[in-house]
Amino acid sequence: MTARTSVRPATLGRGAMILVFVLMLVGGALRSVEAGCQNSLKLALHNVFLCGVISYAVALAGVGAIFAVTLAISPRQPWPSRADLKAMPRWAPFGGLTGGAAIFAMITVASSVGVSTFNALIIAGQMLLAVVMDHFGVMGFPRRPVSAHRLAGCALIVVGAYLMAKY
Amino acid sequence: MGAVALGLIFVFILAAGGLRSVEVGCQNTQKFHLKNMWLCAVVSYAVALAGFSIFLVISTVVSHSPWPTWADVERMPWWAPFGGLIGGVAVLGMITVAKYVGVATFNAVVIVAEMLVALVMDDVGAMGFAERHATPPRLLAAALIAVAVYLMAGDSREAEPRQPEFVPAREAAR
Repeated sequence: MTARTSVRPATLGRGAMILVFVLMLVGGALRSVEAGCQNSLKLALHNVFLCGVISYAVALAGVGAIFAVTLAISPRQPWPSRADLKAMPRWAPFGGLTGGAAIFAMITVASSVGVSTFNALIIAGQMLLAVVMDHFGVMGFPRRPVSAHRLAGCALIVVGAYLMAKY
Repeated sequence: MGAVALGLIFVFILAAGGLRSVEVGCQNTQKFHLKNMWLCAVVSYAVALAGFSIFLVISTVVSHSPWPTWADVERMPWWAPFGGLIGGVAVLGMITVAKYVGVATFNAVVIVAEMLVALVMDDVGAMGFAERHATPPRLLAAALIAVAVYLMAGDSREAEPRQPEFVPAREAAR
């Protein structure tokens, strides 16, 4: 075993930790519910791009409202300066759109494989590319080279996705 | 469905998953420059909405995509349009507590919950999905994926900073 330099997590009381775990469990569950919503939207409306537009319009309205509320509650929010905006890479704001490929997949093909297999494949694609991105240290991430642990993780994910699709 | 069609669907979903990692890179960089988390969310969704609107226009012009009738809209469950918002807010909300448990535990717990709910949804055929029963191999698959994510995220040491490419021998000896 190699010594691991771990960052100690911030500590919380027992009750608060339970709440944190409940929040994570609910959050994870909601990601599957999202796939269900997108699937139902497609079944009702037929047109996949219309579904994407509606889904993002609702999401934009929702986070816009949350943003407005945070501004109203505490007006002294961190705010980017003009220099910050200039320094930002041009591709940075397109995250929502690239993530939209997953949304698009939920709308179009999730129902042909089922939500479990869909999630397994999404996670597989996400983690495999993440390992490569970490290895080369692209898009602002520090370099984290491929290790035995990470390769084992990749193998397990592939096996998991295979099992999920097969059975 | 033919094996080729199913294979293509698998590749498509894998690629979409890969793009999620690209999204994380984009969002991470954007957060670094914009400072404000909810402003980032607003910008991301606005760009995505614009993108999908353009796709919709193109698809309507190029091919005659099907449009829903009023009856279709009336039959739609009221919760169906909230998918994007639910998923997005869930992710943002969860990120705020990630620091209390560490990234490995965080991702593993989130994925366990996501996979368990997915297995239940498939098992009962909820939300427009066909029934696919939660057999032992499927439960095993969910467990393997969670363990894999825990393993990967647990081993997140950064590389040593790159050595300078060229160090003259005399300089190095000094």
